[in-house]
Amino acid sequence: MGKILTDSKRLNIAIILLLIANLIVIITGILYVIMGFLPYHERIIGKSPSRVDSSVMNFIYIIIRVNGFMFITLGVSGIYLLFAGFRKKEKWAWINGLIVVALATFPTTILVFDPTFAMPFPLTLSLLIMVIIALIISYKEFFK
Amino acid sequence: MGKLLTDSKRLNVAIILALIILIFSLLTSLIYAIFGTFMPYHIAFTGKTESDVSAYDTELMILIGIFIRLMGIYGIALFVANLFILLFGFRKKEKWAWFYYLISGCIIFGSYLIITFQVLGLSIMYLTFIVMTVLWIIALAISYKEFF
Repeated sequence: MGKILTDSKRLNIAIILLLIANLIVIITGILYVIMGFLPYHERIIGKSPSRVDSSVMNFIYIIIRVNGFMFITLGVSGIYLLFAGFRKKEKWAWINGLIVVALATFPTTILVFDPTFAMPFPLTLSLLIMVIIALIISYKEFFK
Repeated sequence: MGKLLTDSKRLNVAIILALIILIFSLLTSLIYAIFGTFMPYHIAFTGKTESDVSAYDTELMILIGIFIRLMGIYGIALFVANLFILLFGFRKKEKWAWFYYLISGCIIFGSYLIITFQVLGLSIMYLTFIVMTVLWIIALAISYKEFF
């Protein structure tokens, strides 16, 4: 993949922001896969897993783990696209970033919206802001 | 984007197989993202319908609905990312694209086949996952020599 940074300051900031965002997605995915049920899930349903019907709880563990594996794959694809396309100022990599934001990051932020700013809303909102900033500041590097 | 197929027969077969997998994943993801509710195999696994769970705890069903919808949303996002990698990396015989499909396939197919077996059992859905996994292995195997 060669060296990480380029000779453009704007593109470098965008690369660092996107790298952090993808690493956060991968770490969250690993947490989901390992733990299956996080403290903020317990807070949302207002009861401990032991008080939920065992077959329903098993199902929740499975869908959380599947989501975790999808997070990891999305993060890996994001890092591949970052180094194989975005870093080389390939237009398609920037457009892919925009589409993924529109299709995944934005709807996720809406789905987990919480007026009290409880987790995971601050995390998804931070990811959304980071990716949008990265796309805006790097725009001119791709479409001169 | 230029034309989809290349001058290599093996690579073309691999691209077509990859497209079949991608279209299947897109359709499944769209169903999950749009409906965001229990599928028939979920009801069979839990022994409860959506209204049963809602009657027991509304918040619980909302959480489950969010996770089902998120699976669909991430599936669609992965479809887009994989399609871009197919068109701009794999099709151009870029080594990184072949490695990406190897790594991402191991994560997705490996996890699906192991984790979802509890829910799906030997259902048509699970057998379709097995077929998709086989197509993925064939696509990587027959295209290997084009990349290395």
